[in-house]
Amino acid sequence: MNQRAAIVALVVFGCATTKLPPATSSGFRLEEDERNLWRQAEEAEQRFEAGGLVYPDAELESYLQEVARRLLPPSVWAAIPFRVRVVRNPYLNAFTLPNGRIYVHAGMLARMDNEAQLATLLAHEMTHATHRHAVREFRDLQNNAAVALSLNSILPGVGSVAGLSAVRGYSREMETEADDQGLRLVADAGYDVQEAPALFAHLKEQLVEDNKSEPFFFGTHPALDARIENYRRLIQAQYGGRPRGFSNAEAFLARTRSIVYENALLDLRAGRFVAAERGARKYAGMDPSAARGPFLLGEISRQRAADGGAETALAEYRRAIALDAAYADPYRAMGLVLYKRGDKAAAREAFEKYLSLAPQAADRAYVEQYIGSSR
Amino acid sequence: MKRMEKRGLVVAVALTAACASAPRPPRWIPAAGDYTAQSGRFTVRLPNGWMLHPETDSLIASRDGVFLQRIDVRTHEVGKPLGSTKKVFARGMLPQEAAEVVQDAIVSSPGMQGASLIENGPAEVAGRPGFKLVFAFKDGDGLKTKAVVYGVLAGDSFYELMYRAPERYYFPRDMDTFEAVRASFRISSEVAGARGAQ
Repeated sequence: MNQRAAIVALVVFGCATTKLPPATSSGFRLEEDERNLWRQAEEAEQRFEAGGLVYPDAELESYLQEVARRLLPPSVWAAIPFRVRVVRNPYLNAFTLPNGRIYVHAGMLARMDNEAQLATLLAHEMTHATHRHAVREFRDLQNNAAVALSLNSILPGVGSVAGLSAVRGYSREMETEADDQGLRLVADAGYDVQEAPALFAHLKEQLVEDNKSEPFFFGTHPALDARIENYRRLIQAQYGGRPRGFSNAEAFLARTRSIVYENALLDLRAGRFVAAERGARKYAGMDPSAARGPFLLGEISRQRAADGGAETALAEYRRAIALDAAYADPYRAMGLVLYKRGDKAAAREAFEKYLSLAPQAADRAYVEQYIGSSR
Repeated sequence: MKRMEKRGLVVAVALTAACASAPRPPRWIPAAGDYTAQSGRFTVRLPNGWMLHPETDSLIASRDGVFLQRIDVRTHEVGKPLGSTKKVFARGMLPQEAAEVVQDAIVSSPGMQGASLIENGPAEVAGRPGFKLVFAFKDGDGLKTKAVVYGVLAGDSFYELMYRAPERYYFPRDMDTFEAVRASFRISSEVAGARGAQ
């Protein structure tokens, strides 16, 4: 393609506009390519469901929907049927499909302190959908590819991947838009916007712990510190003089208690012992009468196998048994610790108690072996 | 014709020379009886008609393609995180504890959070106390799939044999073959001894 042809192609084909009115404006209609993205989103949604990745917790989901409903008027819900789901994943993250399906990782939910933080997250994600970020980014990619192709024939080398990256920059713009608009929704709903930076502080803490690059929730830009700073600036400039809103900590913690426990288990399975312990302690504090709190703390100590871990584990198992003498699992775990320590008689007693409480235990064959070799 | 043969010969020599200058193990080779890992750490007998993809300390075998059935034999060092979990194998672990690490690595893998454990029990592997796990899950395309994992700790290494196939038709069809492979699996006594066999 010669220079003239390239320029003509650029002019004739033009660029699909990335300036689209938000779904919150009147007369919102899906465009053709957007409809395709929604279809793809529906397929992705089916895959998540079929893969068992979504928690089937109707009560929790109903609570999340309730919070989301406070953030946008029914007219917007009519245009985008939002639905918030919880994904079985301990990493702090959340993402939105173009059709308004919002997926919040269990890890994210378990780490939050109150409803205001949840509202901040949901409002950010909902803004991605209302402001049609998926189709805008899709068109942006297409346009840049077309521009790059044309530029490459005019100025060889400019249309390379590096050149393409140089003309891009939507992620930063869209994430900032989602922060800005999202915070407005949070404030308008009466929530305490001062809680927003706390959400990000949790995220930063996890990133430091995991020594990982930033998750989707932040997009690629701006970096997390800049993001926290941006939130602080926004809050000070736009909401500084307002009285603090509500945070609904109590209701939030009551509704998310089971997810805190489930997520601590996921963290333990992923070998993220620090996060698992934090979650288990949070859960134990939320429900001090539940035996599974100290049992989980015992499991973390046993599996972490650090110095003194066995003693700590035994103490936690005893606490769990004191809370619920019919709870079988602490007996099995206690038996394992004692068995490995060589205290065969005490181990046998614990294992026998375990099997008496859980005769159909899935690991019965192992336990019978331990009992047999402890005689 | 002669000219064509000559040209063919030149091409063949060029190819041979190219191969000779950069020897590479074939990616897939026909399985033929006993196979000893390139590291010498284990030996296993693979069925005729299957193809084998060997690596230094591991192998993949399949007959109809890895999406229809695959057997993996792998080794893993104690003290190193396994896959998607940061948990590690440790010397002196009970088979049930080692099974717990494998189970957690599987369910912590992306897309595997919905996997369900069907069986977890003790099993003999290479004449040593090990474990057997059976999982059911859906692959990325939603296909119902099953996997069996046998594992054993020996010295500073963990040895794993895994069979994975779509639940319908393939899984039951090749299960006996996998059990025969598992029964033939041997850990090199020299390697296990040098590394402190348990």
